[in-house]
Amino acid sequence: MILASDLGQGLSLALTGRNVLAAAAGVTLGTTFGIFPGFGPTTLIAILLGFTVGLPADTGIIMLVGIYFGTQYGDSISAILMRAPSEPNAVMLALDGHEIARAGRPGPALSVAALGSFVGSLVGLVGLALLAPALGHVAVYLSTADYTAIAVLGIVALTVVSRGSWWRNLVAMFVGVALSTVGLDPIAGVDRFTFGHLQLAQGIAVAPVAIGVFGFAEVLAIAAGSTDRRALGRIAFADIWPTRADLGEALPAAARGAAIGFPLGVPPGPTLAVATYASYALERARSRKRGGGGEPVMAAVAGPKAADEAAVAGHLVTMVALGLAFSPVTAMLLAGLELHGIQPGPLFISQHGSLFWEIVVSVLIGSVLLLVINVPLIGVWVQLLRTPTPELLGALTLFMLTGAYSIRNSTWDMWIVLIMGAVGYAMRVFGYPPALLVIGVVLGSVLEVNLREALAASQGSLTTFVDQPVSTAVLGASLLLLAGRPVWRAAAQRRADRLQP
Amino acid sequence: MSATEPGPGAVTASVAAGPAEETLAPPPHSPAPQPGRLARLGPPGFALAVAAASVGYLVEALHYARGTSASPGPGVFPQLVAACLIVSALGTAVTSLRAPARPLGAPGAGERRRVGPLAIVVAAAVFITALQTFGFFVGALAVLVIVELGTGVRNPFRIALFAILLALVSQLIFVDALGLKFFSTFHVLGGSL
Repeated sequence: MILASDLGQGLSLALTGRNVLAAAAGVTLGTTFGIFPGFGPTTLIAILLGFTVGLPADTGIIMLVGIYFGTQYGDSISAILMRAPSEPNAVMLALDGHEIARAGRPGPALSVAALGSFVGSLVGLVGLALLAPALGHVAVYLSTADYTAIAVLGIVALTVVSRGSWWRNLVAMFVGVALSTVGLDPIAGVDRFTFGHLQLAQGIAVAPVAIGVFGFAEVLAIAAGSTDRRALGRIAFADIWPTRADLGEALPAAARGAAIGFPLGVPPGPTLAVATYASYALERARSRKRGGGGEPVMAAVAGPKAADEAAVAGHLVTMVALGLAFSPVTAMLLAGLELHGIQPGPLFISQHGSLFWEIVVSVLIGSVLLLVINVPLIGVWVQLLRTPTPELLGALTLFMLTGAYSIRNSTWDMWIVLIMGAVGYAMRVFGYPPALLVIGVVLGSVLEVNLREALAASQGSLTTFVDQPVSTAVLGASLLLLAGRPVWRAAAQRRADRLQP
Repeated sequence: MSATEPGPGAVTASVAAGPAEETLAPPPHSPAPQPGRLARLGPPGFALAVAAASVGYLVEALHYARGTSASPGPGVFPQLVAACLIVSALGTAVTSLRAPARPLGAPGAGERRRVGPLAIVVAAAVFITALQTFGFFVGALAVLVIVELGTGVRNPFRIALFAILLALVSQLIFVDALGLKFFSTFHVLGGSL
């Protein structure tokens, strides 16, 4: 009953003309910029934060949430149409989503992504409103050994389940992990692999690496003539709608993705990418189980997208309740709140109850506006991407470098984009998955910090990883995955042989 | 025919795919990519290069303290990662040597244009270095002109119009409206005048 009255209060405050207009402006602005590779939610929220400064606190925050949803969807567009996601959590959309688009169905792929986003937001919203205290409480009690085990599971699962050679997947992952060790050692504060360069001491941020290996490498591939953009053909209004079969496949997948994403989003860590990958792996496994080959499926678009949005709602739980940000996006949202003089934390809900519920409702408004404004306008967004090739390449190069610079106002990040672009291009040529490199950078620092802290806490005893139920179960799952790899590959080979005429 | 001009065969493809593909479609009669020397030796060679780089990473990692098991130092994790990387790279090299040679590259790699990617890399490098000295507007102009020339555009009016317009719009949005902390060309020029 209290929940209903609180939600009602939030609705009445959020649904003023000014606030709805601010949300619509945010969604449109976010999508317009977000479609260009390199401009992910984190970068764009950082760039567009200034737009909200002159607005009242609630309106500014609602606009920020709108920008977030717009950029998220814009990132989905560039991931699906150009295989150029700007952030690691959109990587999974660049797999089956891009294949479906290349197969001539870009409109339904984009609509299903929007639908997944809506379902994920809705489930995440319910979780945020109902389960926040309980889930936040559980997450606080996870130990460093648990986080180490979760990171190990991430590495094992990502390299085993990803397509292609396991060895190449491992190389890509470990290169990413190695990159994460550059800079100031997170525990001892010692410079590592900096070679006397002050800029390297800050470490290598994920965003420039992602912009480089995805966005810049894509631009190089287009310039080399080795990437076709058939998916960028005109999308008529009639062609954007998914079929009943698509919906039948996508809706349950989105529900599963949201159910995976929300609990994974609550614990601290780079769980957005893990949530999207877990959902992707589940949908691919289900597809194989039903006798599907390697062909792309709508479920693998809707599921990861829903998982992503629900995981962000999970991140919001810890951000609002503890005042901590565990992902770049929530860090930017936190910065937005602080910009308006609001400090989230344990007392936030009691002191700013109406604002908390306004934020909850603004998430709902943002996801509804995404469906109402962005989906019917898919064709318009795609038109922006159909700029002639030389002009598109020039503009994308300029935008990506500018976006990379905006993260830390550092020219060094632009050099990282350039270098990682060349690396990403070489990886494409030789068949290494760039996505794993980026996820390796994210998982690497989590793994190192938690591994070292767990060992220090247990006086160097390795049994700490099997003493606790969560870490034992998670490490057991990793071992099962590793042990099952040959069986999995053999089964896949048998299926492939059966398909041979 | 310049590298970006479509041949007659490309017209059919561009009608189906839309104008965006006009400059991307491979020319007619382009031979199907065949596994060449690069396709045979490239993958294991690349893996061995990664292995060599990993050895370099390991050598550097050995300079950092390993600590004890109860208090792991900054060198432990990088050394562990280096070992995993070397083993994985060698595993890749071995499996690549055993695997049959296949054409390299992404789907659609009929004819490769070597000037385009190089032009983009050069343009990006020029932008980054010019930014601090000449400001955002001049840097943006440079990157756009170099990319246009490198991707085969030869119409000076088209190049100038596009470069000036986009550089100006970008300057207004990123520097003036959004307040990104670039050196403003107009500020630099104003100061020097």
